[in-house]
Amino acid sequence: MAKSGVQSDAEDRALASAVAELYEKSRGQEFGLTREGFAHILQEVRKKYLPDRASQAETLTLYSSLHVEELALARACATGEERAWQAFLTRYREKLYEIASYIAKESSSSRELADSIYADLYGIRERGGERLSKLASYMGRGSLEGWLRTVMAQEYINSYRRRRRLVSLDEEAEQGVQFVAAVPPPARTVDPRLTAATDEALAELSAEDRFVLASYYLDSRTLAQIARILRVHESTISRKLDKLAAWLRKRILAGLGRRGMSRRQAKEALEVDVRDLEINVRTVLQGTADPPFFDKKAEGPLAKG
Amino acid sequence: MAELPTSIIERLRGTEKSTGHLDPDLISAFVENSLNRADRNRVLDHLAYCSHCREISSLCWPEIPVAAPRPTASAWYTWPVLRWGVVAACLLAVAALSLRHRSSRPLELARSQTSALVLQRSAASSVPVPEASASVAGKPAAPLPLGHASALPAPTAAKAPRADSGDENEAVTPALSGRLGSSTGLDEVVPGRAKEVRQEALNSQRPQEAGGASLATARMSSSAETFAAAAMHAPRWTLSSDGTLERSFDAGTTWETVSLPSPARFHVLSAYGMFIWLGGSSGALYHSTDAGEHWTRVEPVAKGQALTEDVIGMEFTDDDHGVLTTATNQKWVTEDCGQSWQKK
Repeated sequence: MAKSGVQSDAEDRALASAVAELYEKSRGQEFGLTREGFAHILQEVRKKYLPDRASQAETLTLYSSLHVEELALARACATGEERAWQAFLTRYREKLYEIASYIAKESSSSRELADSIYADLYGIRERGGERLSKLASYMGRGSLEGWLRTVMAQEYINSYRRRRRLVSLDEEAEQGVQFVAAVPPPARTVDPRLTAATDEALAELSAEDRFVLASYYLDSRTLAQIARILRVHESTISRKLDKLAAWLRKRILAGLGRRGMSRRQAKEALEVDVRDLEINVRTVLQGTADPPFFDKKAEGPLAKG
Repeated sequence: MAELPTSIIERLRGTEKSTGHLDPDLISAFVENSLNRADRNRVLDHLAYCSHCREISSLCWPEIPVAAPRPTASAWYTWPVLRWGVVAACLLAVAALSLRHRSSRPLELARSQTSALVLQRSAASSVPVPEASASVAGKPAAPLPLGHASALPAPTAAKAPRADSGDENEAVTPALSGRLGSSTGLDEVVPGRAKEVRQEALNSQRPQEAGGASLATARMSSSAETFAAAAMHAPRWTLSSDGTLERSFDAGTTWETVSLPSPARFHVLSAYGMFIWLGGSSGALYHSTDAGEHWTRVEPVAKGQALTEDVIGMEFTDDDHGVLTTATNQKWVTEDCGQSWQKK
């Protein structure tokens, strides 16, 4: 017991010394942040990212990986310190607008985005007398610029989705939407054995493999974009996709075989999908009729795929 | 690219999860590659199932594209290697020819300047400041050593006295020091320099003219060549006692201040032909590939930590490979001209 007490004291001293060193490195004093305040922030970070029983070594490793100067700056800004805000504006004001124009592309949207984020960062709202600044949630795991970029991307996607849900009734009436009969969803029957075998095979994939497949086939990312995220060469992603496609086919066919299908049945079930044979009757009818004299463009394809 | 059957893509979509999302700190740290392996795997695990977070992370990449790492397996005979091999062979051949040419003929100003021009254009700063230009000015000068670095401002002894023909120099200097690191047109700088060089050439050649020596050096073949020759001389560099950068195109005869868009005080420089690295207070680091006409601010980052200490020492063996030493004795190493850094 005495031994663990001594060890605990030594560990506490080491931690306190590390926190003091980090406080010096963070230049928190320049931004009006006290050492106790800084220690409290580190505790908050530890609580968020480490389990309660994390060892001293894990705690020190986490602390040393943080961007402490930016963390001190952001947290001082969140409390309304003028010196901190001066420093923040000098370093990040231009970058905010640059990031917004990169994300939103269009100048009016990017300006709107940057201004709304700036207001959230400054903390124009209050709750219980306390200023609500988004900067209070910055934890220093990545750079402050990267964090600003992520926050802005989040806000942009959220606002884009909100706008998409809003429809104009007048525009819909003009297009005759309200007079269009609802098209019943086509009946899709997929063999449950195929669903089970596919789910089984997908569950065996590693996180990185699944990420590559989802990015390419669901998100329509390019090989270059995926390669950049994973920090590998584009050709590596191309080879990986080929290998994964072949491996999945093999596993699913094996799974279907275990579920009582013959090889031919399994191949047919896998390659032929009723959704690929879906025919839009309206499209076919419109496609075979003569187009109006003022409409040079023909209708779309008769069948999918 | 092998296509996936629709059934697999549909199940991939159907098994996505939307329970909770990653916080911006983790996403930004993932994008910056500053997470440890365990956290990175956790983030990847989430991204594999969450299209919302994938979408956000794809928007988080900075605008400047990151150069893709080279493939691990590459044979020496691939085209990029061969291409640079051919270029290197041409440079060596031209350098050898021009050195031979210079040593076989009497030293004349126009020809020495022309050969220096060829050297600079073709060797791309692999050759130190040619001695010929120094001797034209009448002052013998050792070529700038490769990877030259100084931790303190250059001693005054290294600074040659200012030329008497100060008017032309003054015509040049304001054009440079008035510009805060923006590009300066060579045609604004060179005329004064060229006039000065030509004046000295004429002065040095008069005794020879009287002796019936060749008049080719006294009469420049073309003013454009003279301007280019003077401009393309790799300059000498020095730091004044107050941390201001100065350069000389005439082997130290005259010096001009070079202004940079930074209030930092510079402590150290490393020059290699037309390339120069400059380090100063609070991690200020600048790089030029055209003898100080244009400057790029370099911000070293290693494992998510930016360089903020004073740079007091630097050593570059060439423009790509260098080591910075900070006031706290940290070493920052680059092997790709400052694109990536390692801290030791």
